[in-house]
Amino acid sequence: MATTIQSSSLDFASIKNNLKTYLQSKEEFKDYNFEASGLSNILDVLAYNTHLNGLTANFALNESFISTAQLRSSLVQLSEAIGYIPDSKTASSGIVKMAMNLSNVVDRENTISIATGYKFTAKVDTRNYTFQTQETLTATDDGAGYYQFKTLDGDEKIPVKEGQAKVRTFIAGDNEENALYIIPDKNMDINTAIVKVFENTSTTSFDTYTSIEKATTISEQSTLYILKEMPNGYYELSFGNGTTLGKTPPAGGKIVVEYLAVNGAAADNALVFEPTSTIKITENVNRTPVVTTYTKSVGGGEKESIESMRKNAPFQYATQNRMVTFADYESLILRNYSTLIKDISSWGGEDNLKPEFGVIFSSIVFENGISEARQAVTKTGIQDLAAQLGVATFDIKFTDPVKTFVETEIFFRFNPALTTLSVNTIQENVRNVVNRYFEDNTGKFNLAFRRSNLLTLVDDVSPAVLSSRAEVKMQQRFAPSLLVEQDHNFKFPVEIASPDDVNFRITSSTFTFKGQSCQVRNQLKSNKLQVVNLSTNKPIVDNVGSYNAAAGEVNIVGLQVDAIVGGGNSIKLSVVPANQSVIRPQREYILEHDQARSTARAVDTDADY
Amino acid sequence: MSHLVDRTLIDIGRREPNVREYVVEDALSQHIVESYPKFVSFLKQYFQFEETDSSPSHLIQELFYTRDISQMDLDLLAYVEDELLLGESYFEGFTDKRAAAKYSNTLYRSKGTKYSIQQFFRTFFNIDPDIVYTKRQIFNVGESKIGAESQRYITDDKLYQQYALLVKSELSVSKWRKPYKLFVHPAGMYLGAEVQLVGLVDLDIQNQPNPGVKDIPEFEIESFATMAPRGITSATALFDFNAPDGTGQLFRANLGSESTYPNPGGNDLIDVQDRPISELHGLYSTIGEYLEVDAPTFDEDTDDSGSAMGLSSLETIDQDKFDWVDSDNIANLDELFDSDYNKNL
Repeated sequence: MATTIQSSSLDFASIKNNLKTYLQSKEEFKDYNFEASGLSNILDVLAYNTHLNGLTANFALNESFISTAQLRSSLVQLSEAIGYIPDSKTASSGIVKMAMNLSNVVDRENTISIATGYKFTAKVDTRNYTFQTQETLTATDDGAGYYQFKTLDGDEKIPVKEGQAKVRTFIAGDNEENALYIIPDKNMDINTAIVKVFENTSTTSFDTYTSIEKATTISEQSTLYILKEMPNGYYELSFGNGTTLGKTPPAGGKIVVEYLAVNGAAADNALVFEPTSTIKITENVNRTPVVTTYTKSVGGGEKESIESMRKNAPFQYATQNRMVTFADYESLILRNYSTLIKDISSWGGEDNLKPEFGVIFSSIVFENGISEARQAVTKTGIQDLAAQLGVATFDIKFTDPVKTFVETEIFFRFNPALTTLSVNTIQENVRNVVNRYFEDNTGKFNLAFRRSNLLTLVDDVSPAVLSSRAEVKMQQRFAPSLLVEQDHNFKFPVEIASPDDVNFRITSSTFTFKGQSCQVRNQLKSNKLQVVNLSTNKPIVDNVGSYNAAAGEVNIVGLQVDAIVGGGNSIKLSVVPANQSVIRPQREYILEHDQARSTARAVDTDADY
Repeated sequence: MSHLVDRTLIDIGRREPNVREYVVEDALSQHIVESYPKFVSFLKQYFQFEETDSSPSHLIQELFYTRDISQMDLDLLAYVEDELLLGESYFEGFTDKRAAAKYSNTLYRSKGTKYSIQQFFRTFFNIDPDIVYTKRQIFNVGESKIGAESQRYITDDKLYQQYALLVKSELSVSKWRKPYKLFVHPAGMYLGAEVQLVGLVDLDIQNQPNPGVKDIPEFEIESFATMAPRGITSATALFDFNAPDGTGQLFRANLGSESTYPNPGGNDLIDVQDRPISELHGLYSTIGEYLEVDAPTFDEDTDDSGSAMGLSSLETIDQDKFDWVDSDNIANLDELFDSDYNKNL
């Protein structure tokens, strides 16, 4: 969140009073009566002027820094100053396969092509969106008249992007300094832009320019363009000046910009893509290709928010477009795949649980709906990116995020005399506060749980809540194959409490084994795990593994589960952390709240302290 | 800050001086100026008030310095640090906050190099640590020499491997690990840290106590000898000190060669500079060994009778390689160097 630069005093009455005090301190005016109506009116006018000046100065000062600016236009400019181009809207993208059976068509060509921009409609909720291909597709007769369309790379998986294709044409002026070409479209996806430069308006040959962000080398002959958001939300196109950033379009030349104006995330989750036109096969035969969806549409995004710019621009500046520190990896991966990635954590192999040198680990939480295939393609792209931008030949490896749930058992002293609300209402309010705390403070990498912060919120629920305390557990889950013995290993983000003679440190949710309701728990005063019959409270399997408190590890060995009580396909394994005050996840760990296993209970009291 | 002080006192010469005046008279009608001089004065006082800290308008003055790292207010500089140095809690840690902001770009551009690490420690902690890429200290079979002198280490999974670096500084690693990793550490490399205890000694050479003059005990020259390693002749003398307590001490001093005498004091390169390398190779593994009479040459000082000179065990010249010539009968060094025997070597 933005901070703001506070002005010393922007209160009108204070300003007037300060002005009066100042004037009274001057020999010339010390005997004047500033309360008299005439002079007081003049002071009002002057104080108002001061107030207006102060306010304007304060606004201007705040808008001068990334961390304090309130206006998007200011953040866009300030980010630009440190080399950061905010994300534009991004097209939602799906993958389809297209084929045609032309076995009954005589005189069919051996190869059929579909030009770029072939359109489909797809419905999301109640609204139709237009998707289109981004390259020329070709299909070859397999001998039996079956045509499978492929991309230029020979891939059957064809990406389609949502958006309306638009073209803007400019005539290049004299090679004046700082020539800008304005594209008045706030819905532009700058990643879809294709910039063509023609030597003059009559020629059909052109050079396709490349975005400077994708340039690997720059010389005075480079054909590069810069496309970025302007303060008013439109986009500006510019080129090199013929020396530093490459060629500039010749005076009188034609500049054509083709791009997609997109609807962003609204077009995500489209499942069925219907072609809007037929393809001409022969002079008299037109056919519609059969389209099957490979992945639904995902990755649509809105313009980068000002809070995102505020956070990302300094880190982006710090990378200098090179991957060296762990933060560089996080920043540049996010920069290139922001619409697909919800959160990322990267760390050097030296900090891995099992150190691995010359390696960087990344754990990624993908946006909802990103298919496994799309995730795999993205990871390959990230590895390619690291190969380009890494300064050393370090490998990048991916680790799946590990969710660790937090269970909270809240007890609060409640004096009903201090509120008109019922105990049930207060308990419900406390539960809501707890849930909100976890929504706001966990669910992403590196976000820690702090018990004291939570209890402060609980105490603030009502004056009738006199004090509170919380028991905290961590929990991970496993999905056993039923009726077979299996091993299950867990690594918790922090140390587990040492064995105790009263309290169990490890407990699982209930399952059945040989017809008995059981749970896995540690033997008191021991780190040995047992399967215990919950009816008799006696172990029926004496040793199913152990836990290592200091390492935060639980290893279940040879556990057989016949059925899971309460349905579902997973068993919850809860452990008591050694320090319940704080659980700080590192690396690939993410904390989430298990509301189902969390409680909030009032303890009635008539005390008022 | 107050702007009512003489502006020349706070001007540091980086900007055009502020010579702004309150042109109240010019703004008002002539008859007002003439008829109401108090009002004119009143307005001038108002504009002076505008420059004081009591007026929020004084922020206007700050606008000129908003992005001037050298002169902007330190409170505002913190916001620049947010942009250039990842902000947050690091700002207070910088010893030179303005320099940290000014040279952030240099720091980032050189990221991954030894220079960037050094700059990081300079900027953040004002110290100059030693940065060691320990892969250069790994023992490589067939290349590295065995022994402590070679300072080579067996490869391990920590400091002595391909991807590791060592920072030797006077600060505990706990004080700098977090910002260091965020700003400059190449992810994937092992980070080793050693705390260096560095003390400064004040030699105060000009005020050292006078050590006095020690009586040199009576001595006599027992013998002269020449070492004749394959044609290189070096003269030595065996001194016998007669200590007052009756414990005599023998030691041999190098007197130099024929070419350096009468300026003895050690063998000289002039003695060997024209010798073929193959010849020297059989005698000395280094030039240093040649220059020092008692150089460590795996002495086989087991049979000193061959020399018949009463050599002490301190003498470490390899007796296999030197022929010792008893020159007891030679009265002085001139005679030694002139001796026929010596010339026939």
